[in-house]
Amino acid sequence: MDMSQYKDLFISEVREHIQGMNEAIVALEGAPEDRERIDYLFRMAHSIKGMSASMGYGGMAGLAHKMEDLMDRVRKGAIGFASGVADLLLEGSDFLSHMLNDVDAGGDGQRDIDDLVSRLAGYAPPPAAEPARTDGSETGPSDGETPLPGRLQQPAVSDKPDSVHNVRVKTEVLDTLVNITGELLTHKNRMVSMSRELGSPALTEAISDLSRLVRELQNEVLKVRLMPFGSVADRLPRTVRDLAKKSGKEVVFRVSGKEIELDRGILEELPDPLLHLLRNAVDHGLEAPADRVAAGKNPAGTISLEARREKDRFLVTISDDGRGMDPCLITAAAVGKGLIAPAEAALLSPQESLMLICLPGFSTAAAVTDVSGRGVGMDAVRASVQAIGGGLAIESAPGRGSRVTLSLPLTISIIQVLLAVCGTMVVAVPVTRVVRTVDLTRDAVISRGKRKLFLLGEEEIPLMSLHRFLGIRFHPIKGPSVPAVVVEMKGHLVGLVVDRFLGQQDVFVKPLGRPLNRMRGFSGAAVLGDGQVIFILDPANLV
Amino acid sequence: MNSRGRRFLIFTLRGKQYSVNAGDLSEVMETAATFPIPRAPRCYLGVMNFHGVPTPVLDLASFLFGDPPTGPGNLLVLDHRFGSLALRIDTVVRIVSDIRDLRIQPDEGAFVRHSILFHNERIPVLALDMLVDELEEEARTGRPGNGGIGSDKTGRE
Repeated sequence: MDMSQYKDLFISEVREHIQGMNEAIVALEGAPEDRERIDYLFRMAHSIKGMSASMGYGGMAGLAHKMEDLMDRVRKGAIGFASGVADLLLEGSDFLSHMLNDVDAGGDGQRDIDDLVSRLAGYAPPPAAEPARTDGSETGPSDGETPLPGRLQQPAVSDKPDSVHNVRVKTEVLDTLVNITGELLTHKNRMVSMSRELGSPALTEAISDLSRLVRELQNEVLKVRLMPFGSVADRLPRTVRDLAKKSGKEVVFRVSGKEIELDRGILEELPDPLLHLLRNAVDHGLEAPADRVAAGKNPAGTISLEARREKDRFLVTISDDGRGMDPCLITAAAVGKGLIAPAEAALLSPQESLMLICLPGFSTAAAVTDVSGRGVGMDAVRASVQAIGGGLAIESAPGRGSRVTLSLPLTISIIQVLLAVCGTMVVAVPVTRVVRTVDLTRDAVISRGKRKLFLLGEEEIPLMSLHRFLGIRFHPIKGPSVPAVVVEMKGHLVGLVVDRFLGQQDVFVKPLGRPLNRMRGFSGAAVLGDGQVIFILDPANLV
Repeated sequence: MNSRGRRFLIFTLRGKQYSVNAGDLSEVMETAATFPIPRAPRCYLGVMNFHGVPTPVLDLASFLFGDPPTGPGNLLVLDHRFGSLALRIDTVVRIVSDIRDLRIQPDEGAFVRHSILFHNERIPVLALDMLVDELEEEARTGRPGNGGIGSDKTGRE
């Protein structure tokens, strides 16, 4: 596994641990019975050992291990925290610091530590009780030890001062920064609105400069919240391995796109949906080895987790080469459960039939395994993804496997939207969801029975009134043209007719709290410059 | 059950008295400008900008009894642990707290678990968690639950 992407974080954390150790060692010399500090020191050494080992820095791990062992003896009361112990630990801490500097500089962190390791392992307290050092003064070699060559070769701590390249910041602080930046954006929009009314060129210019600065701040603040997809994906191979073992299946698990960065707010919402989908893929998607062989397949099934960026969307696809799903059987099951009427079922496309597994109440493990091989918790998966402004699409072919694609925004905090007016309402459509806007002439609108449509190139695009989706009365537009925004809904392009467009704007997205958080078709709300609260449309989930 | 240490805000709704635990409220305010909520049932007056937080305003009488809103009234903004919601009520009567003749007793009914006995009058205490649960379910399904708009959801005479 390539761990290089975590090197900066490793260095930052270990540096912090070493600093903490130094402080604790010195404090313990003054209060050698301080149990809390003894435990803390042990934990620090243990953490450094584990982190170094996982990053492949064996020398650091080995040294930290011996320091941990020495602290364990102190912890268990076998020896006291005497000055000899403090000397050894500080010496070890200095060595670790130099090794870490070496790693930071691109080296492998290796040093000649054999002598120190043997002294750590062989430490024995002097026959008489040692007085604990309390004044912090230099004492030179303690316990009558003779300096050994290895010790003399130890580079001085100060030969290369530590550079602070990174600081670790609490995530709450980052969230507060994003919120303040978002509020700043709202107030900037308010000033833009006021400036238009006042018509002052000087004010307009000042606000223009302010806008530029707010945008720069916004970009930088959002950047610090980005994390690689790998921070979630790296935990999954173990999960899949355990699931495969439990279900007696052989699984080859492939992951790609771990380096793609996205907002922490999105990443935090991903583990549960991914776990659901992987569990479904292993438990219900893949056949047992014998069944696969009988079907002419490799006994080991393949599950792939692929992350990629498309425009401003983050797409995660979980696919398997298992038994797949039969749309007809799914439709029949949904009708049987009373989830849809037979007449309604007859009108569904195969893709729409597959989406039925996301209906609450559709899936129970037994039923789904019998009919499709998928479906456990799919309503929960879809709800989780929708809650962060995402969507879900399912493709499947019986006998060939299934593919579930989650489409997610890169950030959920500050987004660019297209503002549209419908009756008394202003709504925002994220520009990432806008395929295009059109201003159709009357004769470009084609009537086909009750349906209206227009041609986008060769493709017939149905026109639907956004008013209807918003639950407001639609008054036919009397002007010479029909404005519409073309978006994708359930895999099809649709032209949503509006009264007029107000233009584009950056807005700070406020999540909808209870009770409106479950309202379909809207991913949040925002406050405009004039104080107006608007809702942000999520076209994929509007119907 | 003793009420010591708890405070209740008593308000009126269509001439009847109700109460809520004052600790469940964030603010009591005059009515504010609201903006339309897409697909919202009529019992929502709109959404207001409450200190930067989009907060829907529910006309409580309209929700509970199906009555149309009347007069300006007051807004009870719920504590954020219930979500983001303000209730429009007719008038605030008073806040009662920690007094000898205030008793809480179990009660039953939609959105009610207890009543307070105050000056020999039984005043239902609205269970705000139940109320928000119902509203959330209605928002999810897009359909009014528990009898529907226009019916008396309290189940009272």
